[in-house]
Amino acid sequence: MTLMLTALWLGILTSISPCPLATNIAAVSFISKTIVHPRAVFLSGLAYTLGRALAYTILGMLIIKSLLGISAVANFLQRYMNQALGPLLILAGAIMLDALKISMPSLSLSQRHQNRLAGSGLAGACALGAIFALAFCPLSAALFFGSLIPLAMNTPAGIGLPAIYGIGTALPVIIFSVGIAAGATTLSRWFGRITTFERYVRKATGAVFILVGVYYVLGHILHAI
Amino acid sequence: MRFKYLVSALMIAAAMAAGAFACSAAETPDSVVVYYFHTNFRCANCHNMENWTKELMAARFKGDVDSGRLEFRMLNTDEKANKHFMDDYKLYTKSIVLSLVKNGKETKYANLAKIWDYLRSKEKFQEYVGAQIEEYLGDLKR
Repeated sequence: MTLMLTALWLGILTSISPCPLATNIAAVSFISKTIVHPRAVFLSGLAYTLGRALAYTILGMLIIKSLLGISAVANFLQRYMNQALGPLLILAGAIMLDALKISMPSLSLSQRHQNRLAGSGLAGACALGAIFALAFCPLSAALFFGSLIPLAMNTPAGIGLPAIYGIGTALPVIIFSVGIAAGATTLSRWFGRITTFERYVRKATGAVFILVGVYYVLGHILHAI
Repeated sequence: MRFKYLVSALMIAAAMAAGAFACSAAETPDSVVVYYFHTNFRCANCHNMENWTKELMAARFKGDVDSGRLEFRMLNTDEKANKHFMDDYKLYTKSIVLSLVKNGKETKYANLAKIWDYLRSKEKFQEYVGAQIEEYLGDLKR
């Protein structure tokens, strides 16, 4: 029980530190884009949590079973996931803003499908959770590889700890998203403009993704930060 | 004849170089090296770690730094020449590593992993790093 609480606390500690702030902002923005439907926001938050928990569990298992070396995998993920994240977020943001339309000769996606691809769906939230989880920043790498993994390795049932850590990293994000959604629902009802409100929020999510993407490109590819 | 002189001169030069090298190896002072490893991407915490460590060494360990018993080395592990440190010290993030060097050889090292627990308090961070440095400096005398 103490170990489970420690794993949860390590996750929360990771999430509330300034280190993953940019991805947390993007996550809150994505999860709460169906802002006037708190239930949908909650479900999206759960899918995001599942994505994080799954990513950490698989990674934890690979390390605990000695299939991957801690140093090699930690450095690979910190370097390349963060480099990939910038362009990926800019692309997703551009699709959400309808600034980029995907069309291929054999596979033409309708506007509705494009929007679903980039901007909605529980699968999207789950994938986002997994990608953000694996884009380690210095602090999350220190807590995951330096504190959680040694803890999991020295415990018989330690294989479950990375999942609990993943829940911890998502918890503040979900609480924030649901809080915003609850507040926004009340606000939009007062003004009676639910549909307009939701459209703006969706655009704002696209803009947030692009800004966070630019931040990652500047920091991890151009090293300008 | 000229060739003989040349060979003799070369032999003398080689002997002098070998002697100088042997002397310098013997004179290498035992020391504690404080490594700070970072990457191209520098976060706010990483800057704090660097500044707090430098500050600590300049204030509390000035005498040891001046005498050469203590040295600060800041290295970017994204640079090819420094990549081996990642394997040598099994690094997984930005790190401070203490290395005890005796007779020119590293006899032990420690990755100060708890620095991440003290990022919210400069005082506690410096207290922790300072205590570890003290311990390593103590080992120099043994």
